[in-house]
Amino acid sequence: MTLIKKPNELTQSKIKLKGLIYGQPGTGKTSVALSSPKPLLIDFDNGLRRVSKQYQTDSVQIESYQNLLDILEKENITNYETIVIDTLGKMIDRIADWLAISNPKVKQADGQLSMKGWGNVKAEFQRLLKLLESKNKSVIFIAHEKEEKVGDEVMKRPDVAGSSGKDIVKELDFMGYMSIKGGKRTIDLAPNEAYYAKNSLGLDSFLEYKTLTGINNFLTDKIFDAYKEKLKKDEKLSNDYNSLIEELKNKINNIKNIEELNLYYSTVYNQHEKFWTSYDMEKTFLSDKIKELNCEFDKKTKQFICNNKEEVKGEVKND
Amino acid sequence: MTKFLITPSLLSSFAWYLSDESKDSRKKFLNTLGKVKTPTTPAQQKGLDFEARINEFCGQFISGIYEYDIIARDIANIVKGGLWQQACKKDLQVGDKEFLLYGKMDVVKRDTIYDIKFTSNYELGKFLNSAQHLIYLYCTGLPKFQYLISDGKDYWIEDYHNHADIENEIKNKITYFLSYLKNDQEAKELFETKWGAKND
Repeated sequence: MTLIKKPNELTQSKIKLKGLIYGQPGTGKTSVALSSPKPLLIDFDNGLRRVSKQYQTDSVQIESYQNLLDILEKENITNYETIVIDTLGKMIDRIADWLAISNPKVKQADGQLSMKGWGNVKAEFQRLLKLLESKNKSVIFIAHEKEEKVGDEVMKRPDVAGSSGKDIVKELDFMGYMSIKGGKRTIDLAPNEAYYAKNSLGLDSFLEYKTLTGINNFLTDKIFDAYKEKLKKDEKLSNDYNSLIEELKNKINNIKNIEELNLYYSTVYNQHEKFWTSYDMEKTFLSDKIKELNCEFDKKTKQFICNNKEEVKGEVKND
Repeated sequence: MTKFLITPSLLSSFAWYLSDESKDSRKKFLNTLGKVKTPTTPAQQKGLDFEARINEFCGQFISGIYEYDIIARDIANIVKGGLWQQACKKDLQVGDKEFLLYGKMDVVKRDTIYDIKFTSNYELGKFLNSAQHLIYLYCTGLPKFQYLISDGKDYWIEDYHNHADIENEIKNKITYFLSYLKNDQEAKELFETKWGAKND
């Protein structure tokens, strides 16, 4: 069996994602996180007791970060596809405690993380994500919200000690802000002036978490499966774009003289249906050809003319 | 009717002026409105050097060693194969006034516009209110925009996507700018004399 995958094989395999759901207490963050594919709850926050019995899943009560490492490295977790960590803030605190055992300098006298300490926590967080990736697991973090002043505005962000969260968020595929508006539980993946969010996956950003009556598969459906479908569509678009660019490149490569160049410019150039950056690519190919043929554009006649000078000024403008 | 030019840097300068109460910010805002060429600051030069180095890594010839080469190479791997400094423009009517939105994109590749930022103090969501992604997404119709933000030691990405309401978001920014100009005669005159679209 080969480890090398063709692009179309990627969309057929299981989707592994890294995400974060944050918001106020009582909005249902843990229930949402547990709607991921085959979840195992790593419970730093005793959060499972707040989840309706029917939606509770396998879980582990965690006392220390070493507990988590032991579970990931020594226990049989092959049946779980998603590791749900509740909460991210508590886990970061436990990582700091764990690091302080071997190096007390990671914390300052007041117990807060030092700059160096935060650097070490960040490195350990990245190592943990790599460990989960190597075990082929998705990971969903749950976090409380905190408010931060940005200029004159107050913005909500995940509550993570020792950091504004930028280094954590960098590693994630998506981050959703969960709230209750008019009795509806919603998750927004698009950032706005009130809260930060992240939608690298390019999915529909506003999701409504309806009251559960059956299987708890909200994230599985709205994020994991939706992303898989999107990858399939993106793959088709990408192939179509590649074909169009190749076709344009070949057509322009085949231009042999100024007559063919003028014919192309007057009848073919910018005539295809625009697809992403296809006009820009066509313009670049044509500019290269103009240089090759030592021509320049005459604005009066709107035709290319031969240029016997050594200096070449070929440039085509999009209309 | 005169059509006026609107660029991301004009709206950024306006936003910066409103958020910064120092005397210097008004001077900078009026300089932008007056299209006054000012010397490149050391911070701006760092950004230009960083972008130039990324461009170099995207090509075939790389000269010497630069302070931020590790990150520049990482970002070059993202934008490699893209087109640099492509212009984009689109007409937009706001109320009874006509505008030409215009900008030059750092890199455009396949379905994504990239803008490279060099900053010493990045915080999450720093570019959320920028007009840059709105204007570029609207002008090109492309689906994705990414800010590639670095402090030289690390880099972060802010993603933005095209959506149905983007035209209204730009209109709101322009409307706010115009309503401000009504009460600032000096700024209004500079805008009306220097930002006619035919002049550019």
